[in-house]
Amino acid sequence: MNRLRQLGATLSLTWRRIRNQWAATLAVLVAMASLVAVWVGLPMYADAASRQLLSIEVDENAEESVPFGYLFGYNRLSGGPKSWAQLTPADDFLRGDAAPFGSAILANGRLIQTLPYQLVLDPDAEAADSRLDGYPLTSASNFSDGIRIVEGRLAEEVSSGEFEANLEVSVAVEIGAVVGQQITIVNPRVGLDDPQRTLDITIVGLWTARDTTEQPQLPEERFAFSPVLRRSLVMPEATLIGAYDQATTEQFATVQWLVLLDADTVRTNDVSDLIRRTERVNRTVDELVPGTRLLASPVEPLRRFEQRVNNLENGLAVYSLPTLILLLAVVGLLVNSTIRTRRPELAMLRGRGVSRSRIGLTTVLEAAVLSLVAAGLGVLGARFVAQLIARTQTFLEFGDGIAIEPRLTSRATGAAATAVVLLVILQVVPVLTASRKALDDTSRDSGTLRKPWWQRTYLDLMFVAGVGFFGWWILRNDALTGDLVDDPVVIALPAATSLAVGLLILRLFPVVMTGFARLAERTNSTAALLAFRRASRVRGAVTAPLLLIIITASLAIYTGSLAKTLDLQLLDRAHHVVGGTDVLVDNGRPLAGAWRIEDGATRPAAIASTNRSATQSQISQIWGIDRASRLTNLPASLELAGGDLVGVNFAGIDPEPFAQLAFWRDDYSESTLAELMANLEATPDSVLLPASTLRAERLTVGDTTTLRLRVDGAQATYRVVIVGSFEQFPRWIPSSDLPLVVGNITDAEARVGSIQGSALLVQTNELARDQAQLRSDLGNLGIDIDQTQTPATIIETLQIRPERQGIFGLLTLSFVLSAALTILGFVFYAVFGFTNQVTELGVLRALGLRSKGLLTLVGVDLLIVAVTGIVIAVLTGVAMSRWYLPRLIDTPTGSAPLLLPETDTVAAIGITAGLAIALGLVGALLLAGLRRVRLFEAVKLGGRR
Amino acid sequence: MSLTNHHPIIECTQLVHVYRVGASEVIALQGLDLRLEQGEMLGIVGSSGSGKSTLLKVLSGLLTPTGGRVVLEGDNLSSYSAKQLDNYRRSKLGFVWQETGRNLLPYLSAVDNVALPMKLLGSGNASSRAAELLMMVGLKDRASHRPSEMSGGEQQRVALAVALANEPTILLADEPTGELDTATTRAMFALMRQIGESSGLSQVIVSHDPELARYVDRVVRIQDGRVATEHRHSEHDDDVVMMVDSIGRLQLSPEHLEELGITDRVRAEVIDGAIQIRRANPLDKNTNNNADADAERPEAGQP
Repeated sequence: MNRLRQLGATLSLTWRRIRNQWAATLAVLVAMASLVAVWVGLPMYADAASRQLLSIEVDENAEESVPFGYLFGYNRLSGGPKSWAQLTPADDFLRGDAAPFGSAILANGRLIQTLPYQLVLDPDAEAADSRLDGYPLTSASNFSDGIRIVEGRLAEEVSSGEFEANLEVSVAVEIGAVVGQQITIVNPRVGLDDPQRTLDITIVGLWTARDTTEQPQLPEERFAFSPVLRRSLVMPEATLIGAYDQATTEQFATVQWLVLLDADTVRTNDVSDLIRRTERVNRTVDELVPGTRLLASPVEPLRRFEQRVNNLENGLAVYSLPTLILLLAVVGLLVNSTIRTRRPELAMLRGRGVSRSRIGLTTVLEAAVLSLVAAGLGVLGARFVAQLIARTQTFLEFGDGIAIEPRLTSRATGAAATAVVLLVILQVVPVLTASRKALDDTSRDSGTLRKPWWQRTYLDLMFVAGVGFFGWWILRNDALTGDLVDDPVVIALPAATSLAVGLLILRLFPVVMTGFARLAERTNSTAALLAFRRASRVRGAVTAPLLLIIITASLAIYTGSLAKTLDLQLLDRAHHVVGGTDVLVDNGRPLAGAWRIEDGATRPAAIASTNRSATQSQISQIWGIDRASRLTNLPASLELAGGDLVGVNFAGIDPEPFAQLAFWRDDYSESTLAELMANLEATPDSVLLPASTLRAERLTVGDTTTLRLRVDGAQATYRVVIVGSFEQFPRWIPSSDLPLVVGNITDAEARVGSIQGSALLVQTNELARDQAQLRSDLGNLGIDIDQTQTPATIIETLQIRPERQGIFGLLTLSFVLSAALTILGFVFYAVFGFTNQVTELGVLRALGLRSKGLLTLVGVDLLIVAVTGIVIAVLTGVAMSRWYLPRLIDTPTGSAPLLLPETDTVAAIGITAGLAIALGLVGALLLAGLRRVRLFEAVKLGGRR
Repeated sequence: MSLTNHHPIIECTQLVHVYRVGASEVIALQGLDLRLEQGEMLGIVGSSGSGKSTLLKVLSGLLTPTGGRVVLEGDNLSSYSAKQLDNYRRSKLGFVWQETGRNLLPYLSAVDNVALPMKLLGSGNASSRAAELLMMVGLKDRASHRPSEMSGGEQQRVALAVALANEPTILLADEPTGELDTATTRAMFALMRQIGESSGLSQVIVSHDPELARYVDRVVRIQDGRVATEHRHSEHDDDVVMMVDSIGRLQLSPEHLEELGITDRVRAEVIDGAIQIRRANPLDKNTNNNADADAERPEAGQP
């Protein structure tokens, strides 16, 4: 009881202190909640985005007609025909509850088929040659939902007597069956006098699969499109395994069980379990009905999904490290600041005999409560963080993004719990340390002249040397030329460099400031002299603001440049893939060979299969279309030095419009696109070749060579003149495609006849109406458009790739947070810096320094930190952009065009100006506040502390 | 108050304490001897840096001396465990510091500040006793005020009430009137005297204030980390004696040194059962070391 009272008294005291110091407590809470928000938000985003990834995988599977689920099949070939009773164990297991599958079941269906019968349409025709072979009886779950009755009605369940069946309409037409017709099926496997030899069935309706533009998904949709079902007599399930099964001793030949899983319920954590369960389920089914095989399973998409989620989570984890460390440092800083104000209380409690253990217990309770509150707020903030990342388009740019529903998963909960534990430790350790020293005021601190511990132990110089060596080694060995997602060093090295520069500046700061102080001695400004002298001896105080400014601004400039480089690459890549503003592709066969889009985000283009009668001028007449160029791709061979013919791709274009509408970059060729196209137009049978081919084959512009085009089995071989060269060309990927030969499509047509199929590169203007109208207008000219590709749609697709979006979202969030923390750090420096030098200011005031001089002193003091930080940050950021970017990131494998590193000067100026304004505002507000209270009064007030 | 036959509640023997400041050392106490009798009110004076505050920290167990020992009611304070020290400070000791920031929590009212030590001890009637203590120090009507709403004198009176909250047997006060005006200082000392007489509380008060001698039983002056003189105040006369420590060292006051022109050497002679100390002739400086030694070793019991 007594102990409880004692604890209650300490807790009550704690509560009063928190209530009294609400502003400081609130600041700590906000910082801790921010930390939790980022910490928990990332796994929440990863989880939500992983659903996106899974749906991508499921969609890709669906395109290949593979369901996301299990397709089990029993076929008589693997175990002979079986009675329904023999098949029932597997049926019960697979159609039972979801437990064996470990995930929610979206749909469940089965297809049951008998051995084939012979069909006798005319009962009077007994001749064997009038029988139609191979017509089994089949049933499919929810058959009516997957089909449309064209005529008649759906077969109904019968318990006995005359059986009813439906027939696919085209089959009915083919065999001449009509609705209402009674047919006989003959079982050739039994004797002529066997009563089960024949069975009468009435065709009550004709069916066809439902019209759908999408891939069938549900079991009934899939079965409706199944050829197994099409050429059979379809009966209700109940009839087939009921009345039919009872009426005959016949056995079943095929059964398929389709169990579709609900992809929305699958989480990353479930994947390995699902994969294990798949093996188990397969084994169980095979044991229940030997010969039953797993025809399709979710294992492959799940494995790909798992891999992508791992990439996403690892990328986010590594990229979030600098931010989390920064946030932890800020929380530590704030906690330590509050501890400083608690020292008298701790000293008093210890002086009054309160043991360290009781102080520790109280602190743990206080820290736990605060951390839990912060965790609660942080989890709410984490949803916002996850949604913010999901809306990120690129660095500091947001759009609609992807719709996600962040959930507090076990991983996120684990992250929250870890954060709480860490926050408790962060709060408790300094209090315990302070309480140990609370009574020990013997350490007469030698003041602020003491170097920070990392400088005394030379850790900073070791870190600087380490970063320098690592950077030099990486850049010298070209060890990293990779993707943003795959190589976290792309951001880790610059982050480490920023920190190293910051530490170096901190070491040099006193020396440089001493130099400035000596210069200031030669001026009349006492305030400046005092400010520089103070800057030269105050070490610890400037650490936080200076490091924050340097790291935040320099990394923001680098990240801005990185984002601009990648955005421009994305933009160029999308235009390069399309070739121009829009490419309208008409219905036709796939392009042979090259010109594919590697990313998987878009589909291969298709080309026309019909003769195009439309002329350029006709197309140009269409409202909204400025110009259009045909663009074809043919397999070809080119004669090189020594007479060898090598395989190439021939790109046929209409040079004149192509010159005006194609996407082109200066680095594509030494010549302009207009020059190259003019050469093609002016010289009959001319071609453009890759400069690399010319160099390798010692060819030059003006040489002639032999080109062999192959079109639909026919081929044309003719001499061509090389009229130009290029390094890169729209739609061509040099690293993975065959060499490209570009020629005039009209010349090619003259050689091989009309080329069957080509893409149409179209440039539209602002008058263009919707795409449906364009399709219609082009359709009127005989050009049927299957799909359109525009750079915008490709960009949009690539921008919301979770891996890319996650990292840019995180970088954006990091910048916003670190900018806020920088300003907060500066506010702390400004306020605490002032209060800490109150005595000094009082002395100066007593010595006769005017109020104006004191204000100047405080102002110059702030200016020194702000200007030093910003100048160093800008120099570091720009240097890192120029030096690191070209060496750390490269054109992704299998994509084009080449990546061009860009330094984002606009971002550099914007970020610098924004930060300078914010810091200036903080300083101005402080000075205005001081002016209001009148500095000498403030000094007097401060003196009472 | 007669102190004869009283057992000392605190007895310090040869206390030495050395502070380390960076690479250098500062000797705060240099073999200090001191006794505090039960119910005695002891004043300690001395110049800045003489070791007064260090002595109080040692007495309160806040500081472990580098050498020597403090015997508290028969027990060596240095042998106390951390828990015993906590108990000692919690239940036997009251403390008043010069800075009010060290005495009172700014976010608690006067009554809450006074009740806090009792609540920390688990006492059930803390609030009523706190009210009584505030009444005793004359601040009943200021009970709900926070320190920032009270004058310096009031704050120190609240601090005194806080120090007395757990009915300590020893009260230590380090410059309790350092920030107070003369009238308030007198009132404060009078209050402490009154409390001491009524409760039998032993008190050690460190002060620069010359008024202190009028309120305490005994004033010792500390010089260079040692007790130099002792001044017993009575209604009839003031008796100032010089103190000889347990190893026979004697400190002369600066006034005596100046008056007699003594620098670093004296000659001591026993004359008629007393020791006469006179300035040594500079020529004697290197000739009679024994005389120097004699000067530092007066006979026991000879004042």
